[in-house]
Amino acid sequence: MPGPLDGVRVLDLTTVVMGPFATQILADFGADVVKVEPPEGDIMRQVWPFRSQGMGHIYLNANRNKRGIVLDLKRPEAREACLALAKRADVLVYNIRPQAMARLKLGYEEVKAANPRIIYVGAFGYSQRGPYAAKAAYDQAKQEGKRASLVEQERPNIFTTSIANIPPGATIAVEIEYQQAVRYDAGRFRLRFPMVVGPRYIPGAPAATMSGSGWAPDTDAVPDASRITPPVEHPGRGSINPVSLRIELDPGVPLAGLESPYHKIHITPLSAGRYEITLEQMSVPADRDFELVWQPAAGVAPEAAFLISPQGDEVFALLMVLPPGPTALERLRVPREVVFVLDNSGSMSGASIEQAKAALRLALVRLRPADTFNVVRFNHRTDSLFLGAQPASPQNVQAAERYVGGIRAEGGTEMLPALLRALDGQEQQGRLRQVIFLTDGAVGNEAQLFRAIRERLGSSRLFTIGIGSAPNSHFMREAARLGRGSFTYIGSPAEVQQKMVALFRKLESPALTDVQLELPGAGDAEVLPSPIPDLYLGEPVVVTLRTRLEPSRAVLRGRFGSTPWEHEVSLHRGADGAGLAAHWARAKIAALLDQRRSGAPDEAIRHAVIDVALTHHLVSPYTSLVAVDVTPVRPGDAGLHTHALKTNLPAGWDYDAVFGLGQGVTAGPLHVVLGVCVLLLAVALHVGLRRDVAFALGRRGRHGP
Amino acid sequence: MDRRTLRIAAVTLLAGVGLWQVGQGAWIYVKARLAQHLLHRAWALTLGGESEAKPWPWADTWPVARLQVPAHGVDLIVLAGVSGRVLAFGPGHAPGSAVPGAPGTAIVTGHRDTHFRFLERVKPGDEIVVEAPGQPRSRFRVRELTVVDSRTAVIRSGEDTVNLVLLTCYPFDAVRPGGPLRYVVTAHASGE
Repeated sequence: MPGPLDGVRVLDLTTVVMGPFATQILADFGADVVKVEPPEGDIMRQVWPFRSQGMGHIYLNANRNKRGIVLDLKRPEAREACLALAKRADVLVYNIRPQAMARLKLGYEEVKAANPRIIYVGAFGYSQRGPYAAKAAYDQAKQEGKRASLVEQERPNIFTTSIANIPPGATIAVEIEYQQAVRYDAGRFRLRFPMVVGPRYIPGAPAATMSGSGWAPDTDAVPDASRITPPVEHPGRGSINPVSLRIELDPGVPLAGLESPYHKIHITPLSAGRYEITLEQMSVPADRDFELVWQPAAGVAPEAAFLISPQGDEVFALLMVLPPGPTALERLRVPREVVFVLDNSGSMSGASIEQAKAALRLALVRLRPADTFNVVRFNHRTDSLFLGAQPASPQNVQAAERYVGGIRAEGGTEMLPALLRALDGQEQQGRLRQVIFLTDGAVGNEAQLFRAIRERLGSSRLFTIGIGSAPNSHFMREAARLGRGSFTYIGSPAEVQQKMVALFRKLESPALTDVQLELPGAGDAEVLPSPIPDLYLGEPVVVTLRTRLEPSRAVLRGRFGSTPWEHEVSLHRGADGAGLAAHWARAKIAALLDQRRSGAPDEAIRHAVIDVALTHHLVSPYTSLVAVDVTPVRPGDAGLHTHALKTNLPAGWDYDAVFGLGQGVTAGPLHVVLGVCVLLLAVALHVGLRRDVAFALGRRGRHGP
Repeated sequence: MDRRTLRIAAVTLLAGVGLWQVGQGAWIYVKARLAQHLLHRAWALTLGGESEAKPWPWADTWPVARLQVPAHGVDLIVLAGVSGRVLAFGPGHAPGSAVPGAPGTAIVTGHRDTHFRFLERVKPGDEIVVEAPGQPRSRFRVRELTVVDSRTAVIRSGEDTVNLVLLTCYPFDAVRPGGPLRYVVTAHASGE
């Protein structure tokens, strides 16, 4: 009976199970499969049980419907014969590594020379240009007993380092180099150094697979859940992962302030205006973000900075321009509709929910009667104060304060329904709609959420406030960027007032929109990000560019509300910036991945990202770093054990609220036992007392008159 | 003050403290009993279609299911949430876990000295009957009894199967609260 693949000829170079099974399906559909075996035959022929030598059951079961030929491909004449077969075939299938095919001189180019129409199929572990390409090298070194390490990106702010073949009792040093652009906002520079991945809530239905060694199974919403949920040490067992820090800061200008809000630090001035910063304690547990904040002295604050780094015939540069200060701006006059969204999931339990509530209360009293507002709260369920936004009358604000006061933090983090409730497309004409999202961002389904923001934003603007000691910074930044808003962090109760006032100033001033950058004389410059995002009060324009011709001035245009704005700066080459090429490349990768989110074909984006990442030696969603020490350290017969390193629970978190199995007992038995003991003591004392009294009476009796 | 008065004062004080402690303990049990009576009333309202019917006006929880174990004469109303305030009145349904009787794993926690005392006597094969609003009455069979360390244990939520997990503290007779061990009763829908 003819099948759908009738007339298709398959040259089958596969052995063992995966390949033969694949080509057998083709054969079952009618293809003419010619199986090439080495002189000793497919190894599965020898697998017991069998009736006749060389006719193992697995072999028979995976090779029906095929024709066969014996060729020793290592011999030139056999290779010729194979190519002659390939000439008349439509498909060639192999399942050894591509490197091995190349050694046999049967790589794609060579086979293609014999038959340009050939479909060349390889079935092998990992892939040559995918996220797992480095894994093949790592895995091979691991099997061979060589020391190897692998760095992979799970999220832009989560990386996994794997190390193979650590001898018993050995100490391992892992050096990782990374670079990060310092954020400049409202006159202060901020450098954030995250030390712990807080446990993430994983929505979705569990899948059967475990791609990593985390505590959460993969789900349909978070296919890599088991890779982003490292095991967590119970805080009752003490803290682990001690960190010590030494920072050398070269601010370039005199400073008015230098501090670290979440850690106590020592500051030692060095020569040339530089500083050395260390932690006051020798080491601290890795359980919160470290932040360093510095403020240039009055009058020396930068209005524009231009850093440049020539590379070959190209120039990579970083340009920062600060739009004029608040004096030149008028306050926002349009009434606002403000939707507050409060995360009250279990991860917020403890210090976080108190900080979030305090921040929310400040924002509520700040509303003006002309504004309208609503409060949405979510854990695994979403509900809201009002059905729709209501005027900010004193009664309504009071009702909101009561509503917020009654909120407790427990349960899951189903963020998507809350986000959709806030971005419901109910914008009113003549009102500026601002969504203020207070959360620690402890979720694994960021991609799903970002898609929702992109699709549903409308004319709303989304502002994120990262709450707690270790918020998901990538979520805060990216959600605010896609939501065309801004972001801030609150990491301690002392910060609530100051950070919220700074945010109110942003919310209540017109944003600089439609920002365009012109670089006369450098027409070919590739400027990122593109388009330039809206800017809120105190935020500078920061772009990175690649060009062949170095620009000498920059013209910025934009609008504050309906008022056009233009600003020109002449570009004096600042200090040479090392690493600007890598910085540009990171921005380029982000821009490419953005295109994928808006529907560009996956395959093209993947190749473009890999090209950029390989040129600049970057770890990306598709590229990893692998290092192999060629000397074997593990004897072949020694076993290999694998285990995942634990992390701390972020400071201020409540273990039971996240992983909690609840408390299974009341204080009842304790009360009763204590009470009974005390009563027994009382009885004993009482009996003793009576005996004493009786004794005293008796004595008196004897000596009485 | 002579020694005798001092002693009498001490005895009175100790007796007072002792009675107060026993009273405190007893009150916990009385409250646990009483609350279930009020809860059965709120449950009737819930079945009548009222959502989040509060058993008393200042309550911050509401009934979500009725749990019966015929073999041990147990008939309990399960509340929403697992905070200490909730568990004082009844077993609590862990927020975020599946609705009892719906696909997935429903987790219900109770105190080992009040509502879930009976778990000590539960055996594999025992039947548990659960009613939840909007769900058909579902029957479960106890499959497994385990003790886990709450500092390391994770309860995996089942995919498509209907499971019920009852949790309480372990050991049953320990006096001090706050130990790390938990007693886990796993039951699977018996599918009639």
